[in-house]
Amino acid sequence: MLFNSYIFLLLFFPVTWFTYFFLNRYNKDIFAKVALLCCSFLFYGYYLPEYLGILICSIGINFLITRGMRKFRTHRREFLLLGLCVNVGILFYFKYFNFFISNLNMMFKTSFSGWNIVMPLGISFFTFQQISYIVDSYKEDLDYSFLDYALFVSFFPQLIAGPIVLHRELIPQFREKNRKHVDFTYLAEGLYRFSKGLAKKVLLADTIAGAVDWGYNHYELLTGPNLVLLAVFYSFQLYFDFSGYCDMACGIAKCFHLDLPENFNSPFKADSISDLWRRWHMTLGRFLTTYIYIPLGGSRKGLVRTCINTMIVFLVSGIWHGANWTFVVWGLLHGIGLVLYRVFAKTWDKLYKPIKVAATYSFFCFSFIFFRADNLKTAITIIGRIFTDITWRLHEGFYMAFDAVELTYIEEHVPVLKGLVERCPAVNMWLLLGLSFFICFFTKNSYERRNPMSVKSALWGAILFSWSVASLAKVATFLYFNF
Amino acid sequence: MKEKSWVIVFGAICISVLLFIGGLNVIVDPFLHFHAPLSGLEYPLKDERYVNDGLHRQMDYQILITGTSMSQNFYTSTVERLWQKKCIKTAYSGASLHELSEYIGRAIDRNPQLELVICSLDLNKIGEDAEAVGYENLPDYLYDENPWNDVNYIFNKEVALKSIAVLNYTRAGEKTPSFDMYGRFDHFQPHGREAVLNGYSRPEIEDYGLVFDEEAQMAIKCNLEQNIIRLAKKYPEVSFCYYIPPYSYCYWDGMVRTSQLDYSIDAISYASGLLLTQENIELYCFYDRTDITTELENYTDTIHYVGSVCDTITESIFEKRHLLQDDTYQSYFDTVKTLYKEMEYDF
Repeated sequence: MLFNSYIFLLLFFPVTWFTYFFLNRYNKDIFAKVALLCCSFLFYGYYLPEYLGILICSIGINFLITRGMRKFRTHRREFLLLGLCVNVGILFYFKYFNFFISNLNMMFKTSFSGWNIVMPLGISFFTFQQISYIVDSYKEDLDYSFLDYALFVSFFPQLIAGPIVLHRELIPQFREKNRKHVDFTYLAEGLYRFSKGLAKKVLLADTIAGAVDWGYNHYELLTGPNLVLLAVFYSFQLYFDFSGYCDMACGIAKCFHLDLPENFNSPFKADSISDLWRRWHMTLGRFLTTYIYIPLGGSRKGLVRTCINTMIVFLVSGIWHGANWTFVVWGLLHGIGLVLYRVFAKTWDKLYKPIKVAATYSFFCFSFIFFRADNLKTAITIIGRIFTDITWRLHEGFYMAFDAVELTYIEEHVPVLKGLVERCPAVNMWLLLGLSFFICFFTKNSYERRNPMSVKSALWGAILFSWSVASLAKVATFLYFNF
Repeated sequence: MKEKSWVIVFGAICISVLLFIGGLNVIVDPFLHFHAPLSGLEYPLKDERYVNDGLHRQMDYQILITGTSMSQNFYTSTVERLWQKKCIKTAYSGASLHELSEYIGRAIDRNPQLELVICSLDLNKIGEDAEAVGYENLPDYLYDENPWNDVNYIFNKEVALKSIAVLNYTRAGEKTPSFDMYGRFDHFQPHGREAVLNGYSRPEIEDYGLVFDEEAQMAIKCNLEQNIIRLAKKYPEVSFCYYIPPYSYCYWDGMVRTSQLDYSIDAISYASGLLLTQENIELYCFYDRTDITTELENYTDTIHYVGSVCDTITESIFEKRHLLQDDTYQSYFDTVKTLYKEMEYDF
């Protein structure tokens, strides 16, 4: 199930919310948790029930492993290794097996055939979450009930796309008595945050996605400047989509009187690559730092070892994002960027801040060409054309994708705007570009802003929410080829 | 402002806005999903894949003209004059046979009065995959009987804009198009020799090497059995009149120059043989009407013809002329093959 769907907004969320607090109101907190767990399972298994079996097995196995650690203390290390192998193994099978086979075939000229494996949604997230729990269980004596543990892993706001929550952040909240009733401050903040996240996703990210998808599918038709715009718009699409999702997740959790960790803090305002990774996908950065970088030695073993550790972390990060060499290259680029920053930090920090911000953002857009491209050849071709084909020409297939129906309706009915569109057909593209830059570079994010509860914010939140709900379905325009 | 009041104000505004959008869409109902056109409102009838299903649901008719864009220029008034029964026309440009079979099946399910279906059988669609669908993102929520997914229609800002368009259309004094005019394009697209030849890129003489082999036969067999014969068997009380549209001789010129004529005629001949086994299917072919196919005044491009040709097809179906028969269809297509092979293509 998706947050941006009618069934979630009009049925699942209200029913789950009411059920949870209704049961808590009558001191049935165990039943409330069970209900929340069942709803989370329903949320996860809605599209493909088979996913649910995998999730439940994963939860069960990991819980048993940590129980084994408690019971057989002399064998904690073996259980830790077992847990890591099981989780990495599950991830490898579902996400990387076919990639591994295809590379094996390529390298050794074999002809093994891949398997028809359906990758469970969110497997990267809940696997990392459980790895963190297993490692912490090894270090500390953690004693959670199965219900608490299962709820921690499967709590639906953060199940599919994060943030990657730590057990110590969430489970104690499920136990706190004063969180078991409706808190209108939390509810108001949650609804407002959710509305903004929904708008970011539905109104901005999905509109930009249409153009980006077209651009990447037809990149051979685009000149260098058009491809630069493509890369820039992809950065905005990704940010609005992912941060919008996280806003929705945090907003939903707040409605349940719970707090989830933040995942984004205006990443495009970063003035270095190091700063970027303190602002972009913060919980992933935290996981990689805590469970890979620091155990490897972190920055305690000299510059060379620090650089190696950094490269390993970003190699893992790249691979974690997807089973394709493009993600590996993307990860390595960021590793190299961070290493270079570490070496030249003093020089870099002396630069004029806007230059640092522009350079960091440019690097982001450049590296994410690899992230988005289907394969290395596409990415390299795009980058090559950016530097070699400097003809200023915008392809109408690209800029027409920004013609959102609201904008075209207004433009058709306001003569001045109609004239503007006729003179500058790409006006909507420029409008969205300007709006995206403004939001990302010049406004406070949800993390920074604490909105006062006013009529104005209620109106704005409600408009964003309603407009987004009304934008979930479209009336498709078919190009009829007259057959 | 107190937080509880904030939540109440937020909720009230959301509910009000959504009720307004939903109310507008349900009451005006631009795609006729819930009810027939409201008296006092005029509907522009655009977006055929959205509104056709509504027409099937809401209109009163015993005859349905459907098919691809080949059926768009038909006159339902001609059908009604001849058969003395009510007729509607719902064409689906670019539709596959699979799509058409779904649309026709639903129309029959919804309208027990439906007696006759007149549908195009396009040469370029018969060899497609039996499950082929020409377009993505079709509004399945309009086609099914699941009321819950109607939220996609009710709380939809684009449908709301269509609803507003209906109101503006009415206010501007426009009228709901008749079925004669619905979907037709021959009144605004130029037709004639210049229009056809401007759109015709004459291919170089080349042998494409196509052979009408077993694989090609199997593809046609699967497609027709699943999407036409099965439909006819399911609804034995309904008569299905399929007509093979008369493409212009420009089209056949292209086929001859690329050595595809034999393949094409063999394919349609094979398809005809399959369809003629079914009792409630009649099949009409106009390839031998060279008075039509060589007269480019009848065409807007190499294959699409104007309304007068549609009237000829209608009258022929009514009088059962150009009806293919089980024992003569093969010799008919042999004749057609020779006809177009030996034709003088003098453009």
